[in-house]
Amino acid sequence: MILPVSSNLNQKTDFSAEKSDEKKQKYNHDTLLQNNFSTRFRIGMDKFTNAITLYPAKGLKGNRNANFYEFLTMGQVPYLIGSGMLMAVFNGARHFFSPDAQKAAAPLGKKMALGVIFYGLAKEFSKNLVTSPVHWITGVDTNLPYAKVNYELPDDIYDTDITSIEYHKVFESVEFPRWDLLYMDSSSGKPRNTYFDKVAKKLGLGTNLKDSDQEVKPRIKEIVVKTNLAQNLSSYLWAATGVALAFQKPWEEFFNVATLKFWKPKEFGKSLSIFAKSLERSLYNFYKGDGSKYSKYTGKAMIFTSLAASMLGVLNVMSSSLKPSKLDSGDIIEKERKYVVN
Amino acid sequence: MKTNLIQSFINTQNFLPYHKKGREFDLDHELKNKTFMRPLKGNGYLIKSNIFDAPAIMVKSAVYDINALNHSVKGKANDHELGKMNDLGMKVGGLAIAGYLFTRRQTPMTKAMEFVGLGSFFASMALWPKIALQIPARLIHGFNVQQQYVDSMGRKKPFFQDPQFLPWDLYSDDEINKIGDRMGVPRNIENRRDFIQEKMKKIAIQNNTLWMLTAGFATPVMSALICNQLEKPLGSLLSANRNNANNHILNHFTKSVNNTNDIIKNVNNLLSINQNQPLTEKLLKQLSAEMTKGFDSPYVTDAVTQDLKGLLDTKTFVIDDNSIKTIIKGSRDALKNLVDDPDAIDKLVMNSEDLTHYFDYEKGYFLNSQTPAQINKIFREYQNLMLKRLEDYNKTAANPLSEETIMQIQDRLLFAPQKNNPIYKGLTQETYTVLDANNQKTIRFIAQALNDLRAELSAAEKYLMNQLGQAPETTIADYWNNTVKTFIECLNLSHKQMEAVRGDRLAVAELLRDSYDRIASDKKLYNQVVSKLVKQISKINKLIKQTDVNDNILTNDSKATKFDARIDAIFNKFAKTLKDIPYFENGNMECIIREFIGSGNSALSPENHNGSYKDVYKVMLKERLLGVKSSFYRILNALDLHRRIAVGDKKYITSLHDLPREVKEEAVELSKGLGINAHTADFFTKFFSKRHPKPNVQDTDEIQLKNGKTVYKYFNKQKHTKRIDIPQDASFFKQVMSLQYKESLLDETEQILKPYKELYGEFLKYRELVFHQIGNIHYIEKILHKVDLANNKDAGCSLNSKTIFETIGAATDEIVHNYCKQTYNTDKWLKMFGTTGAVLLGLTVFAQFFFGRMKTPKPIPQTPETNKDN
Repeated sequence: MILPVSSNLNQKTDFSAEKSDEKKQKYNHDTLLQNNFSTRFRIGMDKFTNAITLYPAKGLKGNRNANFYEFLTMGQVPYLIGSGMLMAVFNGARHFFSPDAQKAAAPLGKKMALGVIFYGLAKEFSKNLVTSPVHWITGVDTNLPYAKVNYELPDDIYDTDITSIEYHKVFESVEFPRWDLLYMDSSSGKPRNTYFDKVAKKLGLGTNLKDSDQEVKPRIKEIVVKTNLAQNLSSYLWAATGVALAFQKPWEEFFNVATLKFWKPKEFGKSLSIFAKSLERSLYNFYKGDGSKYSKYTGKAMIFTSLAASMLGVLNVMSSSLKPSKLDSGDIIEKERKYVVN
Repeated sequence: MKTNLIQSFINTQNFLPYHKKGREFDLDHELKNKTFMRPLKGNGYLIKSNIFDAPAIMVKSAVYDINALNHSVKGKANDHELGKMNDLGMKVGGLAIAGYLFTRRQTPMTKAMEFVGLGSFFASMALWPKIALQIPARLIHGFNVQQQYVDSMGRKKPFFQDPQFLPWDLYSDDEINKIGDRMGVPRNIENRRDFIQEKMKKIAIQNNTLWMLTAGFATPVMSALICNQLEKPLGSLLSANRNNANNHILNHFTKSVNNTNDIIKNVNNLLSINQNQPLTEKLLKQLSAEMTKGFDSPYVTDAVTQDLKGLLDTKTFVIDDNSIKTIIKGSRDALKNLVDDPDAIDKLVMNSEDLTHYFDYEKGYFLNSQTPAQINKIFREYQNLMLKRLEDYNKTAANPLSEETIMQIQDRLLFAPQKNNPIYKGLTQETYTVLDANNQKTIRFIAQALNDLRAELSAAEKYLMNQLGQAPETTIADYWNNTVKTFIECLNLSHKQMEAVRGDRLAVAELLRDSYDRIASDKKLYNQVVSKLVKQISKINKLIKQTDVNDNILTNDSKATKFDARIDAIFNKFAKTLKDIPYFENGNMECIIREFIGSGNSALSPENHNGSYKDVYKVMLKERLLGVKSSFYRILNALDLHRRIAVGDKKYITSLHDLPREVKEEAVELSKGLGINAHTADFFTKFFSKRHPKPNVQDTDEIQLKNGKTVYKYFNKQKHTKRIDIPQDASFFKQVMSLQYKESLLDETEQILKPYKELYGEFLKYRELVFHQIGNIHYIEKILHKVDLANNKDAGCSLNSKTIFETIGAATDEIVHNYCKQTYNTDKWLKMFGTTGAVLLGLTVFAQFFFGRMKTPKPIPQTPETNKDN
């Protein structure tokens, strides 16, 4: 006996096993996001909370849905714990020392701790020295984020939550960038190639190109590779500069009054003002040197090397061996035919 | 059991069961449909390497990284290559940090430790997952959770990196089955390979998560512990290198001199800028400063200035910008108190432009040589000019100056004596000797001599600093640390004892007293301790040979050491060069020679030029050496004293003969105490000690001994016994010092010392020296103590703070106190973070026993056939 197909279809079988009113994910398909502070903050917090709660729990259970994204996201855990541990290694035992030994060890330990903080800050913020100019000049934002909807296998019959949101970057992979997200949807009312037109214009490839996407894709790939290289190398040099800055003597003045007790406004305000002064003096000391043999060169060398790394990185991004195609796109593109991206 | 939703979906479809047909191969069908066209077999493989492959892997990785960098710079890198750039950046950044901190550190050890720290950090990052995860997992589960493979494109990747993409085909069936056997997976289950793979995947996910959670704790701790453990071997290595370098400097001195021409270069620059310019005071000072750069002594610079002045003084003058400035300033200052109106001063005193115009265009004196007679003429002309200006001012001014004011101006400014006259001062300020070719030659000659001297002294300084400098990493510092360590080992102090006394020097003294008494009361232990200590202390004469450097006080050898001879040779050569200076017409080099070598005509002779630059080199190391030796000889002497008293033989305590028992006890107590805690300062102030002002003089018994320890009858038994001084009892201190330093050494001590001839000789001399210098009546400024001054044949022997400092050495309780503090700090740190590391490692390993738990599928029911097969 052959059963009517319609009876099966009426069951509306859903592989997600999710009842429509049980859970609403913010995104139901891969969605391009705006790269602004709010999005970055939200993504950062999402990743951070997942990295310290959900992903370790999944990982320790050996969950079959655990994936590389989660592993990479958890990568910030050793960074954060490691930073705290580094501070502890240099400061933890000090409190058990005799007062004179404490006094002797404190400045070095505190400089180490400050160095750890400056390392992280300098590494993170210095990336903008490369990515921002590249964005302004080329129109390619290498950090452009998107939300990826990930379908998982249910853990058990009661597991209705089989989607998860991952936050990636469009150009995370230079081999497989998410070009599809860069094309304009017909509902937007904008031309399909708006993004590529804009990049092409910025890159000086001309305007009103019929196939701007095909022209700029190789160039964008090249920009992404070079930008990633520049931000990787320069950010570590800036991080090293941050550590070196933390090792300047004027910080000792700040250490004497440093407090995080913001509920005591007077002390906290004083601490902040001394921080600013110490920062200024430390920068001066770092740049000019403290009178020792090499110090008048080393500070300058570190600052200018880092600066040069960022600038050369951007300059390298600007130079390209790729030339625009000499062929008129009209010769190779059949205008009447519908094309499918990727 | 989890429900497979896809399976349940299929079940709901009520399809008829699908009967798999037998495989029929139809060649025509296959060719027509081209189903034989399958992807090429992959070239990937699992990496199975051991430690011997590490160098090859490292080289291969380095080549890959270089290519990756090249591709990235050109914008052609792939994802894998770009990933490598992050690692490269981290290493470059790490090197930058280590490099910067390297330049901030002062000593070779601390400099080297910056790079050791960097290396250990990267090593820890790589080692932790291997030690805490990979090896335990292999032992527990039988496979490598950190397995790597090379994909078909030749890229090396971790196998379990992405659990959603595992290239299982790289594992053969045999390998998987073997792992399954090791995991205890039954053989007779369906889809055994799939089950094992799932289990492996689960374990790998769990391990990777554990890695991420533990690495942050483990890496810094492990890195710090590695650094801690590497300090000692690195220190030994650097120490050996330093000793070799030092020997090379002394034995091949000429080769060790680095002939830099810094002084010559700088002086030449200055000369070329100022060629044929007037040799002003300022220029002379500039030249002297350049010529003596590196000598680090303003006296030396002044001496060179003085000699150059004599050499170049021709008693002619020049009026230049500086002269004009002085005249204007002096004139304005003189008028300031006499004339209230500032406008009047401005009108009376010419500004620099007008004055320059006057001296230059009107008179033609500017920048020309002027004899003293010409200067007087110019001075008179200027006086007249000023008088005229005064007259003119009074004619035109609304408020003319009074007669009295004009008179005062004339007295104070115009007709004041030459030595106080600001105008005359200005006119004679700049001498007119130009830097002509001849003068330049002379200056270059002296500069060359100073340049050569500086180069040779730099080599000597290097030797001096490396051997005996007051720095953490020198031969003497290493020797000091090792000897103190040996001493503490001999005392057998526990960590708990160190912890208890680390904050209290008095408690250290008590601890030392008990330890000394314990050692002295046991003959075997005493011999062991002293032998060990003597062996270590004697090493000084191997590390710093007496023929190379000695203190010339404890050492009997009066022959000049190699270092002293070298210093003499360097300075004599310099003095000889300056004596033979050509182009030498005016003055001589007396000031320079006096400053460098000493005074008098015998400047070329090496003897007795105290206070000269040369002597600083010789004296510094002798003092350092003597201070260190005294500190350790004092320990030996104190131990000998304790043992002598413990033995109770009268021949070793003759100083106490005929004394009342109570005083004997007091003397023994003070002697023992001084050996341990007497500080240099004590010998300048007082010796308050626990004494009875009116001791029992009837009781002259010996001190009672029990098991080698003293049993006091009087000491500390009286209520009124306090720390006091009895001024009229001048002999007590001498008896105490005699007991310590004048008595014969114990036979046992002598037997141990005698094989070490140099040490033995020095030790005897040390005892003699201490007694002679500070054990006598001169130790302290108390008139009443100098009662037997008339009978003392050593009356008049000099005693100063330096002598006391060098002979007393460091107080033993202070040495031990510092050591306890430092050791406690290190131990505390090690305990804290060593425990953290150990606990973390334990937990990480322990957790892995619970990984990979899965419900094993039911075995396939065994049919008679399968039974038969089995």
